[in-house]
Amino acid sequence: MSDDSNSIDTFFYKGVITVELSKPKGMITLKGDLNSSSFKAAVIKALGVPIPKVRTVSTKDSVQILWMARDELLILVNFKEVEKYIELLDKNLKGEHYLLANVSDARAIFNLKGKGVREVLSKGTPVNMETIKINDVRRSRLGQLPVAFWLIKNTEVELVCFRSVADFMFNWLRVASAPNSLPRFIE
Amino acid sequence: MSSRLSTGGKLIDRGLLQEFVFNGKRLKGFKGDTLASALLANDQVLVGRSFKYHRARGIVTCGSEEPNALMEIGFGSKLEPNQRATTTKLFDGIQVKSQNHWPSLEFDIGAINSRFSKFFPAGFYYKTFIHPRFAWKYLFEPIIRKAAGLGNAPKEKDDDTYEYFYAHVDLLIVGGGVAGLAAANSAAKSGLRVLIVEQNDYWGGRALVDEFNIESTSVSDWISKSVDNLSNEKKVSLRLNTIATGVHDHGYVILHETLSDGSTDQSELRQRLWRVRAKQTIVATGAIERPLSFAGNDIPGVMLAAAVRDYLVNFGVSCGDRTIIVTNNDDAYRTAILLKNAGLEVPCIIDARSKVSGSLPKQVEALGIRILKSKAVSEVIGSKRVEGVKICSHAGSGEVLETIACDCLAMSNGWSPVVHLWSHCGGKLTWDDEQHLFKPDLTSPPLGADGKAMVTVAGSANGNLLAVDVLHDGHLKSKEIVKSLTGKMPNLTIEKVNSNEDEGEIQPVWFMPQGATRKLKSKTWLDFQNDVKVSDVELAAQEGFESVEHAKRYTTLGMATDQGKLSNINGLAVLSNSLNTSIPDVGTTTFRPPFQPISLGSIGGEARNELFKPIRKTPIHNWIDENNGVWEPVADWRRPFCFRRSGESIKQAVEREIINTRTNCGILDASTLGKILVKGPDAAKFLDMIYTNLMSNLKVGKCRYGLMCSENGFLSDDGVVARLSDDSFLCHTTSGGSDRIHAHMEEWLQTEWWDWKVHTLNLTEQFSQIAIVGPKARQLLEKMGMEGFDLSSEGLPFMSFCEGFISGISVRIFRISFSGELSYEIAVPALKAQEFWDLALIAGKEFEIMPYGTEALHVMRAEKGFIMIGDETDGTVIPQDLGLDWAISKKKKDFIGKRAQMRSFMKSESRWKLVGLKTIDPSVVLPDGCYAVDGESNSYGHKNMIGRVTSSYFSPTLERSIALALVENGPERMDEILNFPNLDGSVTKASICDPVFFDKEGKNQNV
Repeated sequence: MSDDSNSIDTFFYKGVITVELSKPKGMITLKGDLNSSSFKAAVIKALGVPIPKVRTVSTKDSVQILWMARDELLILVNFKEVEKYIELLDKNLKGEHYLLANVSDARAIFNLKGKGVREVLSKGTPVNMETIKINDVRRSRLGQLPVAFWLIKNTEVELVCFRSVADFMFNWLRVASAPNSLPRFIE
Repeated sequence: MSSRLSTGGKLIDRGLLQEFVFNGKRLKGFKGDTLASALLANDQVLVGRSFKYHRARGIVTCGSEEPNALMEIGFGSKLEPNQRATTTKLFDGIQVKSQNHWPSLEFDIGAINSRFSKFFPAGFYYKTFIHPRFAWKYLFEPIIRKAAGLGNAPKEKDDDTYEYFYAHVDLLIVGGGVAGLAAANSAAKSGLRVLIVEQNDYWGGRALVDEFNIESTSVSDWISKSVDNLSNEKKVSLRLNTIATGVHDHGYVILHETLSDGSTDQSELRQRLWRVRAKQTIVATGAIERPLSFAGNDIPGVMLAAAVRDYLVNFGVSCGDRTIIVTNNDDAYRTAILLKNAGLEVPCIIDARSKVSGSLPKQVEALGIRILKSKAVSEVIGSKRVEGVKICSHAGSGEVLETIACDCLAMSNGWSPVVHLWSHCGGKLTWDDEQHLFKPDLTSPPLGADGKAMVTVAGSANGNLLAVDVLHDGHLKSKEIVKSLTGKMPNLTIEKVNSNEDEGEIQPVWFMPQGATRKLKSKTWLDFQNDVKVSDVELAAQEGFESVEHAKRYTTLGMATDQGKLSNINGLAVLSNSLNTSIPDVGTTTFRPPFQPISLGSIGGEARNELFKPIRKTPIHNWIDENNGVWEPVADWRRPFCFRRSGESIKQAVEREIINTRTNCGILDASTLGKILVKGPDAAKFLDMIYTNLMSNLKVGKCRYGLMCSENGFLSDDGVVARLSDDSFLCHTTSGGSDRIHAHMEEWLQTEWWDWKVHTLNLTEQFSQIAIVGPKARQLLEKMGMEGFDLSSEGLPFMSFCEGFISGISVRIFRISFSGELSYEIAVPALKAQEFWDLALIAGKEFEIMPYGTEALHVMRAEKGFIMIGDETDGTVIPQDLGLDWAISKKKKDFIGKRAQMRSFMKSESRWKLVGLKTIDPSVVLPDGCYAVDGESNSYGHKNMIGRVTSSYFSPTLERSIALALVENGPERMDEILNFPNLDGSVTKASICDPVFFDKEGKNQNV
């Protein structure tokens, strides 16, 4: 549908962590019966990545699948490859009961990097950021906003929120990562 | 006088002098002082005025239970009222003011209230200000409001910042005294995640003052060693300056951490509100000493005995040169010993008990201090300061036997465990008959989700007042919790307190002397801040307020900002005595969070300034902002009311936008429109239930306007449904309704029709919806360069859609109209929306394209008689009221709301129904929401209302005012003239007409 042009403003801030709005990414919502073996097989055939376990992400090359709910996945691909993967999924899922939609324009992704990333997020999410592991996905809230996020590394998090509140999200993250503001509870 | 001694003071640094200002006076203190210790060091004993009688008030305590020493700290954007001097750290340059007096602290006119206290007994508000009725609003309330209140609310915006922090722990220990530290020591090696918090800025609590040895080390060394060891444990966190304010269900505990004292001019992170999920909580919050009730116990210089020695040991401050001690227990003797050893005078100890044994009184006798057994304070002499004590027999009615001069009176009535956190979530209390205190009933703890105890209590908070028991209890409770959480009992030997002190029994004394006259009782204070006296509680009991909760509210006992930490037990003991029942039978009032007042700033957290509330922005938001859009909030979005040109009023801008749209071409950012994708083999069946009309027979490529009702039949949302394919539909909702309607759909799917094969997805933000509206709309789109569709009226008839490209941008075009004009709503991927908008404006130049805002949208839809959710509906309106019967399927067996619409009231003939209104004077616009009356009145004298205006505008198209209204039997009353009374008494007349004012046949939209 749309191309790679970055219509969302550029946001970058370096405080106790680095906060950066990522370039638009291809995002596809897929809803269906995640426990059905034929559904699982179709997804693996189309994407080459297995459906992740509950509340985790599975990755292969440039394709990532995030578990969002018991009947919902979020598939991340290169922005330009969305249509390709939608077609592939459509083809392979024929006969299944599913819903497939391009949501690339609906959301913004932030990259958060730095040792304090768990504590910065703990200022707004009730998720236990101390015990969350790499590749864990959480659909929660941050301050007043609904978000989903997942750990890439111990010190790096990807966070997705709605596009309409991207600048509010950025301001929230900027305030939360102000210098000398970490409680140092999570070492 | 009170003064700083030349030596001593564990918490102060005599090398660091700090200057501060109190009521304009420059005073000096040391680093480590609290405001209270610094004031006492400067002989500032008078620190405030009480709430009701404006009586002189002095510092009573040395901790968070302080009722009197409330200060206004800082100024301007840093001003904080009602701060406790006893817990506020001194810093260089701090500006402090006392509160609740006029014109000055020393001379307060309000103190005259005290002379008339006979006229202000308990419940005087209820008795006095009843008649005449009008006087409450105009006379009594304004005067009372002026006289009441403590500090001033800050007038400037707070400069500082606040934040939340969510933490998850296995074990939370509240209190960093001996019991808390012992508990932490026992859990340190268990592998559990432990957090221990202490309200003060030092560890150890009162153990620093009442020293003892643990095994062979001094308690001070034991404390520092424990803290050092705990700090090295990876899974143990320690926080000072952190107070637990509330325990809630599911182990949810709120902590309040003070991060900075407000001493800088700069904005700083001031406080942090911790929201902790703890599997288990140990409450080790210690105990609070109780005051004794005797006449004049509120005079400055009367203090708690333990506080007197706290100031001496921790701050090197003497609270008086001559201190008399009055007590009913042995603990207060410690104060006498310390004072005497510091070289201060202790003329005597007044002890209500006849039998005084124990090792502490022996030491006191050895120091040569008189012990007056079976004696009591008859009355304290002094007004702004204690000058002496009249002594009497405790058994008598107060006949004075002896008068002794003193400048400080240290009182002790035993201790009460701090059970607040135990009680917040339902932990029960039990009365300890030996120690005369309420303590936690360990058989009835606060329960967690698993039905098991989630809070444990240890140390003095558990009623263990002796150091030996405190330490043991801390270890023991922690070990039990570790075992329950890990399955393993920690292999730690429990340390022992080395002490051979024995304390004699306490004797309950709820007021002294035992037979105190009414005159004495009316000078005997229970609640120092709210001015509640023994005589007030007795009066309440006499007047029938027998329940402790009633007596509390009637007298205001314990309702001040200290929440009765000192007065509670004494008050209910007096109540039980008056009612001739036992104290446990009277019971306590309910303990509720917060344990101590916390700032509103910390409760608000980061949600202020630009983070106050999220604002949703469409992709065109910035363009609108730069092009004079006049913003209005629409749900969480911002939308332009109109685009105001220079020199134009808002009304003129709206009229220009409407005229231009109706004659040329308008462009509207309708991105906020809700868009929900519904897909699956059962999607059509599902939508037949969700909407009142039939959706299953909608053809692919077609659109249909539909209504959604709640289960109760009321109109909830409306919008256009487009059938994308056999098994998928795109449902448009109102801007404010997208999340709500999506949730509504999911609720039905997940709870009722869980076996239906339907998926839904909210795609609102994926697409921007840009409406191109007006007679020249088609020409414009054709000019922009189309690919894949035909815009002719045959190619894309009204109420249909197609997909393709415009200017190379992928689009879905809906031919629908909310204005009555030829109109295309174009769904564009959000990231492409601005590009499309810009291209449309360039191409539209020759068609005189103009952006229009929500007001033009509203006026144009009203001209067409289209309803608006939230204007014509208010949660009590059914579709039939709005003449929308055509959109309610008669064929369908069921839909949400159908059954409710069968109710007799819904089918009633007299319901208010939608009509149009034309004012007789076409230039007069009816006020929105105004009512039509029939000229009659009901039995209450209210005018009978027969209708209400739901939308009202000036229509530039028709050059007259128009309105939509709900009127009783409206459609049957065409051309009838109704009266609408205005607030100024005048009446506007309007005649009923058809709600469609403009182009009823739809010529304009069907071209």
